[in-house]
Amino acid sequence: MEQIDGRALIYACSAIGAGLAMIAGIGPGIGQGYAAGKGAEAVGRQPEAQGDVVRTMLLGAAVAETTGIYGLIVAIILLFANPLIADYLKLLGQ
Amino acid sequence: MQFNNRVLAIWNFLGQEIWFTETIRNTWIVMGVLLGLALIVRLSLQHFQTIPKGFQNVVEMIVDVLDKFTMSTMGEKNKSFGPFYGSMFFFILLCNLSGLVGLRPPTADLATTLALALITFFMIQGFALRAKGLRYFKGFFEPIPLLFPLNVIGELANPVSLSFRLFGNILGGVIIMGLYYSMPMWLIKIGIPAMLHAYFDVFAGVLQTFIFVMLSMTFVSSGME
Amino acid sequence: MDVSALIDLLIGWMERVDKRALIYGFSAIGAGLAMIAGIGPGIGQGYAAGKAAESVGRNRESSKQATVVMLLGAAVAETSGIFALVVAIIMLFANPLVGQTKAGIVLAASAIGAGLSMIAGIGPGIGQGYAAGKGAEAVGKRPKLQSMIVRTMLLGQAVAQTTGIYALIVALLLLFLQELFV
Repeated sequence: MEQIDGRALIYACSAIGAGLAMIAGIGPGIGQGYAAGKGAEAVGRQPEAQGDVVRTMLLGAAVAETTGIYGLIVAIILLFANPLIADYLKLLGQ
Repeated sequence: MQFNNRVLAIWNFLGQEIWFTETIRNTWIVMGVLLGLALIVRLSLQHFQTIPKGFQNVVEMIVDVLDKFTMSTMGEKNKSFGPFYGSMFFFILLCNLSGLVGLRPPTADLATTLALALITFFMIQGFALRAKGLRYFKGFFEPIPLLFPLNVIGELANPVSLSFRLFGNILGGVIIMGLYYSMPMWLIKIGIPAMLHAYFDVFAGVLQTFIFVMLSMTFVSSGME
Repeated sequence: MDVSALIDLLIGWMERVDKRALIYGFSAIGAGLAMIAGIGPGIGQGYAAGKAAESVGRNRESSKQATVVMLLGAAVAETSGIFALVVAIIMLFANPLVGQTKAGIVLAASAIGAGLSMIAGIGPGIGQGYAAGKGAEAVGKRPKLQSMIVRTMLLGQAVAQTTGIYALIVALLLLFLQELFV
């Protein structure tokens, strides 16, 4: 096989990396689902507490969301604003 | 797409090179704002009335909330930590919220957060030594001497996790904002950034400030027990 | 096709690529692997949110305290996710492996290793989230014992964090202290 183009390899691996990063979405999915279930159960038991329960549940779900967002950040960085390509081209430039 | 820390100037001081970075400049700005606020409060309290009203009422309410919070976390006898943790709370809060004003938050730089975490670390060791004397070092050998390395790592893990938690959260917000603002113009105008700022700078910023101060208080007070 | 030909087919191409490209490429994969640790805090904080919502529903008068304890516990459960993010960002923006003078394959494999090591963050994430949930529930039931409950919760979470710290140490070793091992 002839010499493989370095940039192509980095793009290829970045795509794999972005895909792997999004696996983090499993966590918030399960966690927020559990929170929703418990919230529904609590509202079922005390309907008059509905406001407090929903507010706490959403607050907790927002906190649980952060690692999913971090996975998204890394994936978007790898796809759109790839620093590795920039550094590699800079190194090639020298 | 600019979100890492720019070096604004390099000074040469007695042959030593000092890098004046964006973080240092923003830290000074935040400190300036805090000093200004302190001066305003000090000047307006010239005429102290026993029955507080208006501005003095607000100030007393804030100080009262901070003292009650310190006492509820650290116990009655540690009330004296209130002023220190109050000032640390406001410093970190303003640092985190400076992203709203367009500055790069100083806490998005590991130097700042590690410095704050090391303050807490040496406070834990210092106050524990003062409270328990040399018996404090015996604490590392409980329950069985074999656990000594584990206890030491656990102790060293505190400043690491404190500093990385604040640093990672704020840097995550800075990166998302940097990515978002580098996207094509029409996407930015729709006003989505207001929600992103609200989540990252306001919600995560205030929450991380509260967490940092609360954890620092809890570690220091449990060290003294 | 004997084994050596197979190996050459699978790994041989690595020799024919510019060493730095190989390292950058595998760093991208490593960064993606590191972010898988986000599963832990996601589940853990979700559990904490659920328990807090249940506690707020059950005893209304201690709802504020239960929420405060949930937030505190959930934020501590966040740390292993943050460690993964920091390692991923180090690999993406400040890649320490490129400047090394070792063989390309070793450095590229180190990047993958660092990413894999951070996946251990799933454990502390879930565990600390469980502690946060139980802490919020306990404070909901006995609000007057809040400072004692919070102290116990934080102590347990700190202990639960150690494996996340070990994973971080190994990842940082792989990234920064290459000269320690061959």
